Amino acid sequence: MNMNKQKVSVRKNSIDSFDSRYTSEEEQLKESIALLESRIARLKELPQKDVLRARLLQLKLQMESYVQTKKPKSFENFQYFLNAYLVILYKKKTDFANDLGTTPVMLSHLLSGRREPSKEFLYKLMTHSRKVAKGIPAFKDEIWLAVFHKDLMNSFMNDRSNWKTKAEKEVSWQGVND
Amino acid sequence: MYVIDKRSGAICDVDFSKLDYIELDLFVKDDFIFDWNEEVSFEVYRLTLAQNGKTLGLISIEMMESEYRIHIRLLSASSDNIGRNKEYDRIVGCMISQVGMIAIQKFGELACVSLRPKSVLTKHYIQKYRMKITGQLLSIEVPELIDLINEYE
Repeated sequence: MNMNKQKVSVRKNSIDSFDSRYTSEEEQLKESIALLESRIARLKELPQKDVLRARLLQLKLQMESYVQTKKPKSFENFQYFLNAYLVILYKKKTDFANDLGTTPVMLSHLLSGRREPSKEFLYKLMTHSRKVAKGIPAFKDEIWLAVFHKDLMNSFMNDRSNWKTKAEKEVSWQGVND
Repeated sequence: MYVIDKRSGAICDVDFSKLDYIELDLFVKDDFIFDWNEEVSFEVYRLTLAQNGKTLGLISIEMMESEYRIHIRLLSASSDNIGRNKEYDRIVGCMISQVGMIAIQKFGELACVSLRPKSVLTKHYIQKYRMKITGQLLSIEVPELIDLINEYE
């Protein structure tokens, strides 16, 4: 083996670069089964606190992705994420409403999208997230504001056809004279 | 997310982004060891310096949705960042943690990231990233995966 080939071989198998591809389907299947068996055993022992941490981190990443993407999924909006947050942390909606200092009826209206969140509700939700994040560091409270803002923007843009023609007719500007 | 300049000790912000298959041609073997065009059917990501867009590392992954797992196929830091004289530290950790974030976003508490490096490298990955070994496979799951994400975020 010449020096160059030796050098490449070392680089291909170093801690900073490696080829980890399977060489056959049979090998992949065998390793998948063994890994699944050991993962199932570990999952059974996974503490509830870690399950919560993972689900909150998952929700946070999904919300960040919603805020950043130009093409959000059709079902994603403030209500969807609020409902996901509720399902992760509570068994009963009434307990969530009580902890937020709001009524179950108001919470239902917000979850169904019949009402938009007020400033007061957003402050309370962010305070709740801050308290949750003390025990489970992953969730940033400001993300709720970002989602709410994105919803407003989506709603505004989706409603364009309703106001665009009227606005074009009613708004004018004569331009700047040289 | 950041890497550390080994000479100055400076912290440098980095970005992680998905590559278009057309871009795979840009990365030659001299700089990134493998033929990345072979990965055209898979997702390939790159880690870049935020200040100048220089690519520090590439990683290709396979989504194994039925197993709630992402398998790392190829991983390579750029040639300047391999071995003792590398320019920046934390490149590999940043890339693995970013793949971990993709896994958590998709699979929640069931998320798993796996790889199967040559046996001489397994000890390093077990010690550095708290991976577990099953046969030839190394894997990282919750809660270690979340700890890794927090460490490199």
